[in-house]
Formats: sequence, structure tokens, C-alpha cells
Amino acid sequence: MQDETRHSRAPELKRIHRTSTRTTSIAATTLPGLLFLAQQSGLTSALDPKGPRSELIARFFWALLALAAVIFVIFVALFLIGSAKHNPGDQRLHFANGTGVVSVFGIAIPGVILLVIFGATLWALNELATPASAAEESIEIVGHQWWWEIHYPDHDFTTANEIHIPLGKDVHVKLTSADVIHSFWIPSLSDKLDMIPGKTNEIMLKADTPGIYRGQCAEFCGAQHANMILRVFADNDDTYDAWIANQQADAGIPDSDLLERGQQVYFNNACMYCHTVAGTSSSGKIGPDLTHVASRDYIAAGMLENTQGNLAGWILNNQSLKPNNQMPNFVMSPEDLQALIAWLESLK
Amino acid sequence: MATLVERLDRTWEAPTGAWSWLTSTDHKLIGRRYLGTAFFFFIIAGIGALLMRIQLALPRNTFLGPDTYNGIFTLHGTTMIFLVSTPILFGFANFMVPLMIGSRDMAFPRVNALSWYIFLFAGLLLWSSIFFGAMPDDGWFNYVPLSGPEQSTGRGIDFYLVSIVFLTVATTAGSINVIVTAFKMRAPGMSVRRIPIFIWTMVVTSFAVIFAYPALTAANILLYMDRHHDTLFFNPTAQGDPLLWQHLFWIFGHPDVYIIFLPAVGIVSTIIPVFSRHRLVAYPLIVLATVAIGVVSFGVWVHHMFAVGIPDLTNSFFAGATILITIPSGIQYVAWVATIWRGNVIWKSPFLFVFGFFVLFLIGGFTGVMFGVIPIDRQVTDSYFVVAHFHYVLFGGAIFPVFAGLHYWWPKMTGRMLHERWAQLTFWFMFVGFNMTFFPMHILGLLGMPRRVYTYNDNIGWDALNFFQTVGAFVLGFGVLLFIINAIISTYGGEDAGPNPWEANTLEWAVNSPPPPYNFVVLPVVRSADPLWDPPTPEGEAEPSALELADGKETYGSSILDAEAERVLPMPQDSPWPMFLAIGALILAIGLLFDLLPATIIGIAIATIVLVAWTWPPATKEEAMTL
Repeated sequence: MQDETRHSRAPELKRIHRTSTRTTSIAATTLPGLLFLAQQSGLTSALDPKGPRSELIARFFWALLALAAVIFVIFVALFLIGSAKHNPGDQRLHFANGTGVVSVFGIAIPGVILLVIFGATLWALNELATPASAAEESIEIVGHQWWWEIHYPDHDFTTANEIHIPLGKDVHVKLTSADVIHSFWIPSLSDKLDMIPGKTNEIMLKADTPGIYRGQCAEFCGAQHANMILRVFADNDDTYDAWIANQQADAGIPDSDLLERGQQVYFNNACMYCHTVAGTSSSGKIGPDLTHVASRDYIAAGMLENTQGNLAGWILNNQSLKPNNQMPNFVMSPEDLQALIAWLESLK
Repeated sequence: MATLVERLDRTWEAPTGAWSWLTSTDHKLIGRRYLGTAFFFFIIAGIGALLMRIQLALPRNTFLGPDTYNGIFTLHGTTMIFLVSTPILFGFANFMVPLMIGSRDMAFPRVNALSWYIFLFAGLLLWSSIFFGAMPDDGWFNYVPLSGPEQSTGRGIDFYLVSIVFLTVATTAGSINVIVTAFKMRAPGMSVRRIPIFIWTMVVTSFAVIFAYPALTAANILLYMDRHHDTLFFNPTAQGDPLLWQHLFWIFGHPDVYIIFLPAVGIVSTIIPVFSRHRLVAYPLIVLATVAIGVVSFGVWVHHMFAVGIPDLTNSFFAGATILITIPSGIQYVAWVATIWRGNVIWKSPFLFVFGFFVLFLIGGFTGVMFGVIPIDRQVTDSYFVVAHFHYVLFGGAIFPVFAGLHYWWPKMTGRMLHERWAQLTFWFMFVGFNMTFFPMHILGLLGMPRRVYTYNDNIGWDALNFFQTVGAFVLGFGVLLFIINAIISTYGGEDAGPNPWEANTLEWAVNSPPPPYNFVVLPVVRSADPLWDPPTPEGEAEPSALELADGKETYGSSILDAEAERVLPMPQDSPWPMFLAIGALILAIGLLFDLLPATIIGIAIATIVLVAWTWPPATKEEAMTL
């Protein structure tokens, strides 16, 4: 069931990507085209909001942009018209005073406009300040170099790099870091908030439309800052409950020789010192929790699609795919690798 | 009796040769070196930018690996801020301040020489990190804990810390020099109401340097202690605070933006009246706006930290200040438009670059207001939107005026005109290339692309814009190349400039191009804010008195407000001590960087001995005059 959900989403994901890529090449040359494009790329656009926070921010942004466009046209026009009326016969120097004009158009009028913008800023801050008591679900996220550790404290399980949230409900997110400063940012849902070691920040997350929303670490956090991607799945209630139930379960016991061998390979290669697979003796905390790794769309913190080929490439060769990450490359026989991957694929 | 000019030549003319080049204290020579050195760093940091653009042209490109990419963007940012924008404007100041105020040198010519040597050494020290395979790689604001001892184990961050602290000596000394020169050495009659606007901006900038840089120095020293002497100022596991670094850094960092921006708009306010044939409208308001920016710029730093989780109430004060600081910039925009509107504009290359500035900084200013709106800030900060914003503000707002200044003052500095057609071509390549490179970054940021990523996946919709930007970067680079070619051609075949090719209003245009070592044959007396535009003295009236001062290496000192001539100031002879002091300081810096105690001690010893020799009191007044 869970597996079907995942695979039915994947093509949809691809379709959106393909559309946006094609639109990109056509529209990239003109400014209106660019703005149109910004509206189109659904998954990760601040201007295509899918939750109340981003919605309010996008509206505010468009209003300021419209205001800026008007002022821009006025000033550039004044500059060009003023400087176009050259009179070559006029050799005189001019000494007019313009303090009055400057006081009105440079101080009084901008002062009023800016005061309004400041007032609107305070109003928006107040709108966005949802109290934590309104939350119907809570999540704790810990930033690592270079992946996301995710806890659901009310349901008592841990996962990584992919968050599911119930549609239309306020979700209280607690953010911190295990090493350096990272930053949590899902443009279509929310503005960003830093994840700082020794400090916990809190933000309310809410999605109004079902979908998968992409985000990336937004504070430079070292060599692989570029490959620290987070996905938020906004699920309707049934899907969400099923997902929670599945995540709470321990990993199943291997029910074939191949899977047994795979699990054996896992332990023989000391994977358990870094990874956790609930229901086994593997309880390492250095890398992502693998209890339900096969239920995730991507591996390597959103860098690679979760396919057998990518898994194999990752295990053998992750240091050239994502240099400096904390996992070493492993050397193993093709049979062992096949068994290990089969076992990992069984962790749904 | 020899003529005035012959007597001045005899006193001021420096011997030629390598040694005198190394020991010269002529502000014009030092100013040109500042400009040349900063331009050299501009080119190498610009080449770094092109390498980054090549890497980002295609998704999952493998042209640069993450370590190289992260090192290059760190060197690019650090260099452009510390080794290009600030010193290039101090280069103009070095050359122009004494000329514009009618003096013969800076107040402290030897300190001036010292500043340039330290600037050069600090820059080379930073870039030498490449040859040690240890480029700093934590960005120009070098956040902890990533730059702390646990996370950055190589020497890269030490190169950053030591060379920046080393450099601040040069910037601070340069600032003191500018302030004293502008306060105490103005031509008689140049009261505060008649000071050229560029001087005002340099004075405000210099004060900002003196108040802002100590925070940077403190932060860097604390981190150096964490890294080398096991202190725990920034270590969160020992109750140290990573946010302390951010506060200290941005208390420096935001004023620094204005430290760069103010002299740049000073250049704009200098050029617009000349090409509008109209004096600067609302001069008093522009001066007040300049001072206001200098003050308010110290109250906005937290807008770099709106996303770190500081309470909204605290944030909103800084949001208010951030929005407020738009007003002084608005004043200047209206005053410029009014000047243009009431004048009679001649479009020449300097004015063209000013137009480019006008358009680009307008855009950067609008996005700047957006960063004052806290929720919008938190949405777009640390994305490519902010990369777009600060390139519009710093490249558009400062480098375009710098190019305006280069085209405007080139004839004064070299005696030759740049080729006008080439100059206009330079502008159009730079302007179009700039917008191609940086405008799409706004969109990419809104599409969720964070800054400082060395690569990106091909399925997000970022490919085409990135490729387009890379093309734009090369167009921009070609524009800069055109300027270099134009400069070389002009040096060998440029038209003779004459003293005042633009028929400008300020005193630097009263002397020959390039100016003689003593600048002014007779020291001018000033009667208005635009001395070269004064109407000719009516027949029968006496010419305004000018001051002869030709019996020693001397200039006039004057009072702060009214600029009444107060005393004759002896000017020092050329001196090797600044160079030796800078070498001593360099050895000290290298010792601290590599934890080499002997080098540290030798460096301190050399610096101490040189300081004693430098400040050794002369035996007699006569000896003092000939030192």
C-alpha cells in the first residue's frame, strides 16, 4: 500500500519537472517570461505558495514589487527625459537651488510610504505568529552534515530527509543542529529558520494543498551544503495515518535466504555502528535511520532517487558522488551487494 | 632668484629609481598603487567568479569539486569586500583628497605609505593560501562553528583571520589619515559649506571604519584564540555562543556596506553636476543624508540575522532602522534627478556609468527594503535572491561608480584621455552583462535555490537560468577587458588631457594632468563650493590672493570649520620606514598564522625597532624640516 503511494507519486513528480524545464528554455529570455516561470515551478517556488505562511509572504512580495516597479519607471524616466533635453547652444553654468523639491519628494513622500511598509511588516509578523498550543502534530528536526534527522515525538519514531505532515493542520516544528548551523527552508510552505547547535528554534508549518514540497539547507554548512535536500509530503488524513502506522513498526524479519544474507552483509560491514534499523541490534546514530529506508523516494539527503542502481552506487562509491560525507566507500562481492540491496529494499 | 616653479621642483621632485619608488610618500603615487593593487585583486577575484559560473552553467557539472568551489566563493567574497571595494575607494581618496581640498599631501604621508604596504601584503597573504592548498572555505562571513577548530582543521580559516586582522591596520590608518587631512588641511576659505561632496563621503566612511572595524578585529581575534589557544568563545558544547560571532561580524558587516557605498555615491554626486553643467542641488541635504547613513548604518545589523530565531520584537527595531535608511538614499536620488533636470546634460562615458549606477542601485535599493520586511527577508535570505541583491548594491552601487570615477579621473591621473567610443562600449558590455548575470538570480532565489551551492540537480527547473547567467558573466568580463585594453591604448596613444577636460568645478582640475609632486604652484584660496566655476574676477578688482609656499616641503594647516589658514605644516621626506614596518608586521602575521614562535618574535622585534627609528625625534627644527 505504502509502496504504491510512493510509486504513483514519482511519475507525477517527473512530469512537473519536465514541464518546468521545458518552460524554462522558452521563457528565460524575457522578464515577464521569467516571472511567469517563477509561478510555474511548483515544487520549490516561494511565489507558488501552498501554505499560509508562504501565501502571506508572496502577497506582500508582489505588492512591494508592484510599488517598486512604479517608482522605478518614474525615476528612470525622469533621469532620461531630464538628461535628453540637451541644448548645445547653452554654455552657461546653472546654480538653482532645489532644497524644497528634495524635501518633498525625497523625504516627505518616501517617509509616508516607508512608514506604511513598516506598519505592514509588524502586521504580517503578528499574522504569522501562530501559538504552539494550536499545533495538532509536532516534529523535531536535527540538522547533520549533510542530512536531516526527523523525530515524531508523539508517535515515537525516527526517520530522515522526508517529512510527512497532515494536510490543513498546524504542525509544530522544533529545529536544532548536531554540528554546524543549518537552515530549514521549504519555499512553497514557509520562510526559513536557522538550526543552531545548542539552541532550539520553533516554527509552525501548514500545507493547504496535497503535494511534495522540496527544500534545501539554506545556511552554508560545509562541503556538501549543496546536497542537503528535504522533502515535505502533505498527505490527506488516511495516507498520513497509514504512513505513521508504517513508520512506527519495526523492520520485518528476513523471510528468504537472500534477505537473510543481505542482513548478514549489513552487520558484517559494521553498518550498525552508524545506522539504526529498529527491530534489530543496529542502533547507530551517526547516519540516517534505515528502518523504513525503502519507503523514501530519495537517498543521500535528496540527492539520488531511491533505486537499486543508485543504492549500489552509493554503497560502493559514495565518496565520489558526495565527497566528504561521513560514510566510507565499501568493497564487497556482487552477490553480497545484491543481497544487501535486496534487504534494504525490503525495509519498507 | 629662481622662479617659483623651479624652487618647488627642487624641493619636491623625488629622485627616480627603484629605491625611491619603494620609499615614496607622494599621495598621488600611493593612490595610483592603491587603485592598481585593488584592480589586480578585482581581476583575480573576477576570474574566480567566472570559474564559479562555469561550474554552475550545467546541473551536476564536475568542472570544480565542492572543496575548490567553496574556497573560490570564499576568496571571491572576501577579496571583493576587503581587497577591492574598500581599498579602491581609498585609492581615489588618496589621490583626490589633497587635490580636491587644495593641499599638497595627506596629513600623514608616511602612514599613507604604510597603509598601502600592509594592504598589499595582507592581500597577498590571503591569496597565498592557494599555494598551501588551504583556501579558506567558509564564506566571507566565516560563520562558526563551521570555521571553528573542530570543523575546519586546516589552515584555511587562519589565512582568513590573520590576513583580515592585518588588513584592518591599513584601513584604520588610512581612515585616520583621511579624517585629519579633510579636517585640518583644507584650502583657506573652504568652510564646511564648501567641502566637495566626495570629501564628505570619505570623512563619514572613515569614521564608520574607525567604529566598525574593531568589532571585526575582536571577532577574528576571539576565533583565532578558539582555534589556536583552546578558548571556547564560540563553542556551543561548552556554553560558547555561535551567535556571538554573527553579532560581532555584522556590527562590522553592515556599516561596511555603507563604508563601501558612501564614497561611491560621493563619486556619483561629483560627476552628475559636472556633466549636467549645474551645481549639485540640495547640497546641505545630501551632506546630512550622508552623515545620517553613516549613523543609522550601525543600527541595522540584525537584519542579517532575522532567520536565527531572535524574538520578533527585537527584530522589528532593526527592521525599522533598515526601512528608515532608505530615506537618505532617496534624498540623494531626488537631488540627482533635480540636478539633471535643471541642468544641461552632456552624455560622456563617466555619466553613462553614473546612469548605470542609477538604474542598478535603484533595483538593489528596492530589494533592500524587502530585506527590512522581516517575513520576506526570512523567505529570501541565504537564497540566490540575496546574491542578486548584494551584487546590485555592491557591483551596481559601488563598482559602477568606481568605473565612472576611473573614466572621470583617468585624464587627471595619467594626463591622457581614454578613448570615448571604447569607454562607451565598455559600459554597454558591463551593463548588459551585469543584468544578464545577476537579474535572473532574483528569480532563482524565489525558486528555492540557496546560495553557496556548488551544484544542483537537473530536475528542479534551475538549469536554463543558470546557463543564461554564465553567458552574462562572460559578457560582463569582456566589458572589463575592454576597459583594460582602453587603458593600455590611452597610456601610449591617448589624447592629451590638459588640466580640465570636463570643465569641472573642483580644485583637482585646476592643476596640470598629471599633477606635479607639489600639486599646486600657489595654494588656492576658495570662495565657493564650485571654485572652478566662479565667475571671472571683474576688471579692476584684485584677484583673490593665493598663497605662495615654496621654501620647503610644506603646506598649510587650517581650522576645522571655517578653514582659516592657521600654520605652515612641514611635510616629511620619503622614508623607508613604512616599508620596513610593514615587512615586520608581515613576518609577525606569518608567525601567528603558522604558529611559528620565532617568526612572531622576529616580527615584533623588527616592528618595534622600526617604530623607534621612525618616531625618533629630530635634533633641531632645521633637521625636522629636512627629514
